[in-house]
Amino acid sequence: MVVFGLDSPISVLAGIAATASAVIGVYIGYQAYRGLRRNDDPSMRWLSVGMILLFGLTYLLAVAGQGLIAFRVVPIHLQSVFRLLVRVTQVVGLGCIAYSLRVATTT
Amino acid sequence: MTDSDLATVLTLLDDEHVRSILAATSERPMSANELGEHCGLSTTSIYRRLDRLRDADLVAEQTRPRSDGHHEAVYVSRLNRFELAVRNGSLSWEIDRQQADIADQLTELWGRF
Repeated sequence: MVVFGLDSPISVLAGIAATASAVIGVYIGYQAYRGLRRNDDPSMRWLSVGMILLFGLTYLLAVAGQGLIAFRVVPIHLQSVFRLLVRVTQVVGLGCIAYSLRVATTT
Repeated sequence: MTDSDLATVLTLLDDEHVRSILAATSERPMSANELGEHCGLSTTSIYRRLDRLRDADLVAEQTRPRSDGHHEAVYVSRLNRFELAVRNGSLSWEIDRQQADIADQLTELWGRF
């Protein structure tokens, strides 16, 4: 992961941890999507969208942002724009998960 | 949870509707009504087969919330693989049963919060 900066073992570990959490988050999102397909449960739609936004999209945005800045495609002062995008995606994703708890039918 | 004997399993699998029920419920949980439509049978006939399949532990029952707030029973195939081997003068058979699907467990867990 060049984009996470290979300048220190710490940042390599941080990159690995970020990738692992993205993979696990998207896996749970995928199982929620299967739950929607198998059980027609609307709460699973929001849970899967939320998990994929919160872990998948934020990760992609962070990696893309760092990559574009590292390869000087995007000027460094736009870094804050990527940070903002990641934060907004996190809020929207969490909102979806919170909403999925609301629509979940209590058994 | 009985470990059914070979004859029971073979008798069940001999019925095309049973095979159709197993195939359909291996894809997603289905209610008796849905299975009735799927197989073109009355729900009575479906329930009779489901009872025998449950006794043989080849289908599992789950509950599913309905839009009207009630719950309905849905059925999932547990039969993953049925293997019959004839070797060295003896016959052996094995049933590989499916564990509960993660996606179904997640759906149920989420509904409990």
